[in-house]
Amino acid sequence: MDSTTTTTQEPLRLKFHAEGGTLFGIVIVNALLTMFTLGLYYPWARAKLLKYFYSETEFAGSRFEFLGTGREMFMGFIKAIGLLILIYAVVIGIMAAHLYILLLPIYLLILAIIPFAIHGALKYRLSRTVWRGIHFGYHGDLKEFATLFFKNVGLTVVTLGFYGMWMSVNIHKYTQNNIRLGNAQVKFDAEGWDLFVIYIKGYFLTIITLGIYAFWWITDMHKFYINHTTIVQDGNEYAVSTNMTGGGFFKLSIINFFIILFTLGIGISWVRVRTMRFYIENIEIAAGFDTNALVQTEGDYKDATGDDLLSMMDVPLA
Amino acid sequence: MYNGNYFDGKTSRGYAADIDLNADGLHISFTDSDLKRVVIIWDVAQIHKGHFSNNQRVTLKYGESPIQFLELNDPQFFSALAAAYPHIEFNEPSSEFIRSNGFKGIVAVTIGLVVLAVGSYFFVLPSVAEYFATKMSVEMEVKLGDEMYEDVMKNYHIDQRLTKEANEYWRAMHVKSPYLVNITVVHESEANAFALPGGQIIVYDGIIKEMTDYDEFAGLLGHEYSHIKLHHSARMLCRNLAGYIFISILLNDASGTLAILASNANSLKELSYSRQLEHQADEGGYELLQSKNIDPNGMMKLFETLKKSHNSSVKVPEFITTHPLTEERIAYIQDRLKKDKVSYSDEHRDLQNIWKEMKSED
Ligand SMILES: [Zn+2]
Repeated sequence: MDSTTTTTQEPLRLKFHAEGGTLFGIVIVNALLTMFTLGLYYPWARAKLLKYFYSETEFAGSRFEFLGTGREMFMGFIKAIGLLILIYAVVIGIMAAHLYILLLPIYLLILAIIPFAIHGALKYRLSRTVWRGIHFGYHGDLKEFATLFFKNVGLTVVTLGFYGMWMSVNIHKYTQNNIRLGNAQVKFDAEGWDLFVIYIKGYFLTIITLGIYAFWWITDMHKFYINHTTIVQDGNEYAVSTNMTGGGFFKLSIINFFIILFTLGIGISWVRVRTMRFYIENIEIAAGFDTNALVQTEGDYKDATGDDLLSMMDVPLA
Repeated sequence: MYNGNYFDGKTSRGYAADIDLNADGLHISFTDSDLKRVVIIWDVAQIHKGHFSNNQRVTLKYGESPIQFLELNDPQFFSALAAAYPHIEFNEPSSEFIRSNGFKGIVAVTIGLVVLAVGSYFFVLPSVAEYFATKMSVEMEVKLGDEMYEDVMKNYHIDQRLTKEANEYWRAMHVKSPYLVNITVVHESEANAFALPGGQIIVYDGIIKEMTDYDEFAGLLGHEYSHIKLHHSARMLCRNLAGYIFISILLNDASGTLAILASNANSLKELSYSRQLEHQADEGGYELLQSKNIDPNGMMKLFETLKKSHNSSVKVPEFITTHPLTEERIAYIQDRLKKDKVSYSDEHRDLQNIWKEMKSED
């Protein structure tokens, strides 16, 4: 009767406790304060929101914590705004001088900011993410990442966009493989071909089914990214996967649509919580991952510029 | 005693711990990985101020790196903690209000902010706009005034003869001014006059008919000129249209601002100056007359005339509404006349002659 080494160990799951009503309160206060401070409150609003979402996400009985502060993010916000104003001013100058040919290098310059923004955002965000006191971290090298980014963008341009699938897989691979959860690390292993097949299949089936298949297509894309991820701990790999199904996503979307319709948009906070819960609670980490064995390894990192640049440029943080 | 999970900040391993709220601090006792019983004591003052998303779940952080951690799922714990160490503030004060008042707190904050915003729109914004109007350059004021003048004149018929003589009268007063004053007399039975920013004075012939003595006209011009010199019309215009100006600045439409001001010129004759501005204009007019050695009694007579015509059948509504509190103003002038006790010997033959011309029926 030895039950201590039980083999029926369950996979580990995340739990999301946020509530639409609470989120609504936060969003309203944030919106008002941002309005009355002519936007200056924005970083604090963002910090509040992130703190809320993190603190309502539970893993193995413990909540996540976002350590970032409005003050830190304000510094990033100011730098990001400064940069955007500078670019804006240069573009206006070029337009005024009718030197339209110079817009191309400006466009390239804006493109060049993206890897810096992604790098900065990941570094800041993960360094501010804590679970059971263990800091997460991003160990990517900016030069290496920028090189990879431009090489992939170049190939995508040369192949008239075809290489785009490989580009997004390569970028995802690089960033994910540099995420640390204390002494554990994230690993992403997939090829552009896999995504390409999903893309082609989804594209044609969506056309054939007059758009209905789009829900399954989006699900497949999401599953592609999640299901090729593992967590490496003490030399062992633990698979990360999602139970998300096209049917489930379809149901979620339909109900969300009606919530927004019947509440005239006020229900957006509830929709947001439902959607986040759907994504978060479907995630599973294979049994065997030791939630007690993470060791603190990270130092401090304080630059929030990237985070705000990203959110301003609306680049989704993968 | 309370039960919770203790984390040492070095690993993610949690230890089931017993927590006691003792006088010297929190006693956290647990069995460590070597199966030894350990007691850790937290100095309450070093517990991080934090936020607790609800009182069901309490997360306490302690010390500097590595930051230790305590998680409790006990609804009693937070109030017990607060009661055991009443001199320590565990919450961050800024968000305490909303947290402790829940939805009501949010509503209260929202209403507060809305009131603040509405208040600023109606009270702060006008004052700010007025302040900026006083900083307006003379050229800007003149430009604004001239645009308004064109607009205003569409509604009036100019009396060329009286206009010419009124301007001669003003020149004969020899007032040195950064503004080029231009008087326009228009056919209008009401007893009224008003000033535009930058030097334009519009006088209704109705008021000229009411006046008998030349120094009354000097008083009228002195008063209106003071409105100009003290930027009153620009200030009131900016004040009353602050909302529009604010919106047009928000919409990044600077040229639109001037257009809004100019197209609202007609509202200027209905603008009511505050009691304080009227008083300033009376004071300025009085001193102008005094400095030109014209008997300020003229202002006195002007007010009496206005009062009389107000009682008579002649229509004077606007001058009265824009120049209110006639009694009080009469009292003020009387007071000054008594105090100053100056005799004005100069007869001002030139002004008298022009005035005579103005009063003669063609
Ligand atoms: Zn007046």
